[in-house]
Amino acid sequence: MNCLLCNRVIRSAWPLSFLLLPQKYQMVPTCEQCLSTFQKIEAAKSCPVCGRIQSSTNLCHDCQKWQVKSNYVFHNQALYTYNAAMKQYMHDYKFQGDYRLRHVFCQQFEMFIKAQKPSDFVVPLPIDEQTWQTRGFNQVIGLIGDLAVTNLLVMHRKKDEKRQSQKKRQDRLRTINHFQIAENWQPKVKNKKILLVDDVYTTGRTLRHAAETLYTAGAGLVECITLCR
Amino acid sequence: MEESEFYGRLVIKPRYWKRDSKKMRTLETFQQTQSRVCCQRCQTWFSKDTVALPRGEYYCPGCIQLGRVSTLDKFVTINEPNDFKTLPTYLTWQGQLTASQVRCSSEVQASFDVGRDHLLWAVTGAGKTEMLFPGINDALQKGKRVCLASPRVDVCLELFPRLKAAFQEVEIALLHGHQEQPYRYTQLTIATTHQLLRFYHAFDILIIDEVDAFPYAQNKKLLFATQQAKKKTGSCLFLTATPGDDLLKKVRQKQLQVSYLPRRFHGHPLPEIKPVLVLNWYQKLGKKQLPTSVKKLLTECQQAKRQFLIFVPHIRHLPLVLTAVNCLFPHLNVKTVYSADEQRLEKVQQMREQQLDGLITTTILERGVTFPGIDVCVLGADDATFSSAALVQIAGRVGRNPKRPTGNVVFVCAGISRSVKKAMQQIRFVNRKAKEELYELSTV
Ligand SMILES: [Zn+2]
Ligand SMILES: [Zn+2]
Ligand SMILES: [Zn+2]
Repeated sequence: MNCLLCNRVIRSAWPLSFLLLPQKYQMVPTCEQCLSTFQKIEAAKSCPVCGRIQSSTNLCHDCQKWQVKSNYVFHNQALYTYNAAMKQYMHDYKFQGDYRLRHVFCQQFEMFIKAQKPSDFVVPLPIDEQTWQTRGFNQVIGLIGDLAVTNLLVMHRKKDEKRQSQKKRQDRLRTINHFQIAENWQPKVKNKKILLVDDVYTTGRTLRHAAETLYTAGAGLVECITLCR
Repeated sequence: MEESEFYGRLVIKPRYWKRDSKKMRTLETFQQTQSRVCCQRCQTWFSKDTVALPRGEYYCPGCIQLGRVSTLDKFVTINEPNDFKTLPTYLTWQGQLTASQVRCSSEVQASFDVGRDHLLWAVTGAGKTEMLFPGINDALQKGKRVCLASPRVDVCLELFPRLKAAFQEVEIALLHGHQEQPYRYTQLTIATTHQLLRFYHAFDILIIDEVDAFPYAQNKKLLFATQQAKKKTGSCLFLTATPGDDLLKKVRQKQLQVSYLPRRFHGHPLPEIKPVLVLNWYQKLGKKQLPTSVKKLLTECQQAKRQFLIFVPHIRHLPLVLTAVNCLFPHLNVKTVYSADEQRLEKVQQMREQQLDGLITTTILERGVTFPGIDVCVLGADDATFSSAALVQIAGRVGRNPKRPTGNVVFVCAGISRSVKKAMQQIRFVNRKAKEELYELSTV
């Protein structure tokens, strides 16, 4: 088998315990060398609110600013840092649209989500219809693997609006909330515990918008998980 | 987007895209069977389950670097109209061609005129680029669209200023993967062979330089790209110093016209390969030692202030050789360079500007790049990574300067492999061919 990222043949010595895992976990799509370019985040060395890597467990600079503005419980945890290797990965996966690359992280990400405290719904952030017509996939659902999810949220965006990633950070923070509760789900959200899943936490604006929509609909607790921060 | 940007091109059109012109033709992006899909840009087949998108669509990972093609898209193209203002002459180059260059040049031009394919077997340093000038000029005068393509971006980068200087009256587009300038419709184009995948029956004349070079040789995708990029009535000129068996077979079967340019522009024969048998060169490196023949070569280079290239089979050899050279020759300024090296272009430039005494490298510098008056050494020439074509190219780096038309080509190997033997034979063959030609020209 060839590495999905560098295309070199993967040669690795399987530890015995490996063979006891279910079949799908035995497939390794990425070589050790490529995997080592990504940096994992330890919970003990990250911001307790957004999951950013740092030396202390105090609130990070960004989160202190958010705290002034928001009046609801918000918490995010991330698996990896958004370093150069991860930026390149996101470029190839999301913007270039190489859907096969979901396999690089989907097993790990699935296990990471499963390891969280149980929730009533696992909700991937949605993409709008125009993105479905061009990218053809929701990058978050791709990364989740086989985990059961609930598409509680939908996203509507006017056609001529610029894409998030093309805007400057300052603009991003000002954008309006495009998330809505999907049809017929409104009454089922009340007092529920929801785990939101996204690919990247950049400014926190997107996830907070989604969380605000859910809290307005009566959700009891919203927590977030991202692949990287 | 300008309408001219669609001339002879395959442009990806998203489904929601409404703009249309009468001239535009829409083409399917995929051919599908029960279980497989085939991308119509790069002609690669994939099984549906590996390239499926969640809503029953498919995409092609094979040519994704050029922008993803999926079943969500269509291609649009406008037939190449050859919409150029032709000039009485385009050539501003003032140089003179040698007698054998003139002969080859007119043979090539004859093939261009009737739209047939042609092979030009020119030794390294024969001045094949200059030889192309009359043919390109003639084609441009006739309003034809011309493309010069190479599998290697460094070759394209080197060709661009030379063609710009030779054809000052015409705009030239340079296309490669790192190009930041947007595409423009031009009569003359220089492109990497990968970029040909974006064209659709555009070129009347398509010249492929270094056909035997990786990644072009044996790459079906790029062979297909060549056919699709040229017009059905167009002609293809293959340039090489080391034709592979496929091309030679076509020549033997008279499917392909051939011209030989066996002499270097300065008229001297190619330096012959000097094989040196050393069984344990690799172990020596571990002890910061070099084979005697290499030490002798570097001592000579140091005394004569001559630059050199040392080729090794693998990237992992580079630091070992560098350490050994630094240890034994502390006064030499030497660097290593390999294909994925981020500073590759800078280091090659430093070498060109004589800031370095030598480079230690993998095969990447084998073609296109010329440093006049250098010596060359290959460690492990019998390693499987060196094809005979690569070895001929490496040997061809030497003796490019008319002031020093000779030079040392030392191949250190544990045994004479087939590739080494074939490379030595090819060099002797063209040197013999050159002598014959000299005799013919003198008796005409
Ligand atoms: Zn890899
Ligand atoms: Zn934080
Ligand atoms: Zn393709």
